[in-house]
Amino acid sequence: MVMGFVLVLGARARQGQILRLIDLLPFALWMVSSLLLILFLRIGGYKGPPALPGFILILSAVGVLVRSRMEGSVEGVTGWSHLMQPLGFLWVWVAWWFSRRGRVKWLRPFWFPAFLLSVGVVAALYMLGSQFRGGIYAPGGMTPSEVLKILVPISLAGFFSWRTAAWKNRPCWNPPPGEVMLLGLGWAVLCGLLVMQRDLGLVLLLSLMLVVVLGSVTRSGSWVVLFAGVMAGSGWLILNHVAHGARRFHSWLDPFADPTGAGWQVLQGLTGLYAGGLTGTGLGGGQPDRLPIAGSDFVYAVYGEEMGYLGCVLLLALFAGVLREGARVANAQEEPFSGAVAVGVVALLAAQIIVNIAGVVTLLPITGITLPYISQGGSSYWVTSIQFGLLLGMGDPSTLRKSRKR
Amino acid sequence: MNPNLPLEFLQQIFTDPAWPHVALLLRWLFLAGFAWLLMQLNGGRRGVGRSWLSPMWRMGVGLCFLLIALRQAHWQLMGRRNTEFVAFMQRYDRREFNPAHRVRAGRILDREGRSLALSRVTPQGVRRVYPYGPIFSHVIGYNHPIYGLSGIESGGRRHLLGQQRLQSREAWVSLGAELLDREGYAEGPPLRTTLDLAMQRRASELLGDHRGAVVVMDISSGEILAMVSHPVFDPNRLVDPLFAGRFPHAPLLNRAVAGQYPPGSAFKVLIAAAALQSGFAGTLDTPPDGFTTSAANPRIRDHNYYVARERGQVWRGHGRIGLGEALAKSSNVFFAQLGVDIGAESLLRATHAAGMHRGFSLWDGADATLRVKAATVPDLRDNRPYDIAQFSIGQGRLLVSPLQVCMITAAVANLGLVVKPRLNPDQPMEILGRLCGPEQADTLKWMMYRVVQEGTGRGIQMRELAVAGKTGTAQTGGDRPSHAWFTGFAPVSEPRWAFCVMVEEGGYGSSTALPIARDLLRSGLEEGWLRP
Repeated sequence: MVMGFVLVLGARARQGQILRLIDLLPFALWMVSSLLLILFLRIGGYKGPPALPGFILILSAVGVLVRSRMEGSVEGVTGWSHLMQPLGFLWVWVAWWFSRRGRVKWLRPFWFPAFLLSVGVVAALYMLGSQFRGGIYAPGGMTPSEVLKILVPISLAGFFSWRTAAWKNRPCWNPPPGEVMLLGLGWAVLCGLLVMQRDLGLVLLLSLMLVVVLGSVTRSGSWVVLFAGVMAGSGWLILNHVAHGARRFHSWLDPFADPTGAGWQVLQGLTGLYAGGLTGTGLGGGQPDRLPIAGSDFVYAVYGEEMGYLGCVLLLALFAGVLREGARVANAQEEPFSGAVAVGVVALLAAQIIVNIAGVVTLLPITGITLPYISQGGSSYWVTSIQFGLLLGMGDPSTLRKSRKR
Repeated sequence: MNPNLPLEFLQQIFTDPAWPHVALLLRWLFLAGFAWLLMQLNGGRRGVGRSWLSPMWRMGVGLCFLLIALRQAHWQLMGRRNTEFVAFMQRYDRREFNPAHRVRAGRILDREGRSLALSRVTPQGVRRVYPYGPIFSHVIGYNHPIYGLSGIESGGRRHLLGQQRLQSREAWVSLGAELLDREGYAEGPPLRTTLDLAMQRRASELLGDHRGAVVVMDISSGEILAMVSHPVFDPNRLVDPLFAGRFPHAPLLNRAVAGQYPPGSAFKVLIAAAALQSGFAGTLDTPPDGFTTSAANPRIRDHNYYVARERGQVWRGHGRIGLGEALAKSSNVFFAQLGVDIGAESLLRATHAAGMHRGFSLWDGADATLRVKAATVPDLRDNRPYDIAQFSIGQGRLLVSPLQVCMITAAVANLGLVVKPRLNPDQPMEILGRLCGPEQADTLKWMMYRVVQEGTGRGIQMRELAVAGKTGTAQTGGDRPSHAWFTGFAPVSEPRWAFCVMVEEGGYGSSTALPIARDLLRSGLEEGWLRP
């Protein structure tokens, strides 16, 4: 972290900028907030998986580096965003404090209100929000639909734990009829509203999460197969019927068909990656100002240009570590509700990471979702923080099967 | 303790020439540290529980990450194999290290084939070198990975990279492949310009520390032989403060085409052309106490009046004189009256005919440094005669560039035809308008010769060459010194070169601008690059 920061500052000084005390701020904030987080976890008696807080700290450090490097050269990345990370750690701590010692299950009665709230947020946003870059945003550019990444896993977990027995060992060709209809109805309402707002990225994330949760609840891989079919079908539908989606789809299939229009974003991102090569240009050595939406959707390309392919592999390993620890926490849950919440949260994180990066490297179309903890954007950062906090809390041994056997 | 001390220390380290090496080391240390931390964390306590989902989950996520890593390698490490990708980068990416920069842009040549810009291969890649440094800074411009392109470098970019005929996507793709198959660096074709190295160099020397511009044009073809604007910058050493506007007197500005100055008496050439064209052949009285259109406006007087007053004498005026004598003596009183007499329409018609009302580029596709700005021509009306009077002596709200004055002079020497100036010899010749008829042009030509023989331009008389010209001393308002002008052409009998010298705040045209023109011509004759 220190070395990375010196590199960022060094590159700025090389460009003729004079160092100011405030340039050290993001680094100092990260140090202080990290120490405080560790301290509070210690005081609160954190006994969860030891590697998880470490992964989170490293991830946040990489994020701080990338963002402070983009400050001033990428639109939307301003000094204000330095507060994003410390506040995020506050959220981690709050969510952990709330959810530890199995207290997540207290949320269970609220699953239906959580669903209603989700629908309410999306509906309100649809009516009040403003259009920008093909999506709908609340005043001030905030994206309140981010809270769905917390609310929907909770309501979904509540729904499944409502009648756990009904779902157990039911493959997709033999589902519990009533439950499936209810689930389908709720999902249609929520996703319908999201599609109307063109927030296809979120629909994709939530659907990926749904299928993972379904798979884990029913213990049948058939749902995954069904989902793949549904994805292909909806992909075809989007291609033919949603203009906004179709444009992205085509530019994904052949970015070179319209290099200065639809393919521009993707190709500039790839050009940045290519410029980075194996070892990168070094922090501060790349040219993120050439990338459109570098701060959020394409932050991975900025990172890849400066840290190179090796740095990217390390980042992927870091993400994999986070997900592995998260999956362990989820697997260890005994109580069905908290188990489903954990699975949902981890699935959402995984989906977000994979879909974002896959979009940058043209494995998937661009969906306009952020990269957790690296991208610019307060609401996304804090929601990810809460997700991490929940995982930390649920990792607390008192909720784990193994510890009770002892 | 000074809280800024550690910062200053850091700043010193960062600006040290050795920093890039340290940064490289730090980069590797950073990657190594990152990897080490990950290994530490992964080496911790093994899983806290397993279920049947684990393998499937692990496989799924693992597969996704693997696919991402492979796909990313396809672009990041092996992007070079994708010719379309390469073509895209060549076209739209300015990063220094991409394959597009493996082309050595062709040399830019002067009219004799001497290199004014060339590409050199350095360990960091291809670099553009300008052997004559600042002398051609505005006209040739620069080609820099960070600061981009300007001047002929920008307009001739496609030609210099050998992409003149690459109109289609397929052509780009094949070029990408061709480039990468080849070892080393391909060189683009050279680009010939109309410039003359010797003349440009001498003009720049003569302008020296003055701010201003020198333009020399071939009269019949419109080819620009020299175009100098001072102050200059060195295209070999571009720096941030230059582009941040922190240098005094705007060195990036190409004063020859984009400078806007009152032309003063140099503009009387155009007024004379308009008068001859509208049939004026008479004489006008030039009273010693000047001329004005109404008592409310200050009187326009001749230079001689002020000189006499300074010496405590009384000037008696030129008396009743004709156009030729008025031009030779540069009589403001005469021309102010003449302008009012012939009227706004004739004057505006002449400015239009001289091509001053609209901007144009000296090189198709070039950036703003080669864009000739439209002159600022006031909206003349016959019911506002004082505006016309001021316009007729090149003052008031009228602003022109040195190139435009040169174009007027060239038209007088070219049977009244206004030829579009150009730097590209392959660009077809274009006539912008007709300033006046051939007879009128011929009359005016000899009047301008008379300026040098017996008028304000006597300083440029030389035995070897018959020169015609016109001085100008343009007031700039306030207490600032006047802008000095001299424009002319040579040889008078068979005109070949038109020139214009402008020195910002240089004082009298005859004492500052004229000697530069004279020495330029004289050097040309002595050194042999001007052959009448």
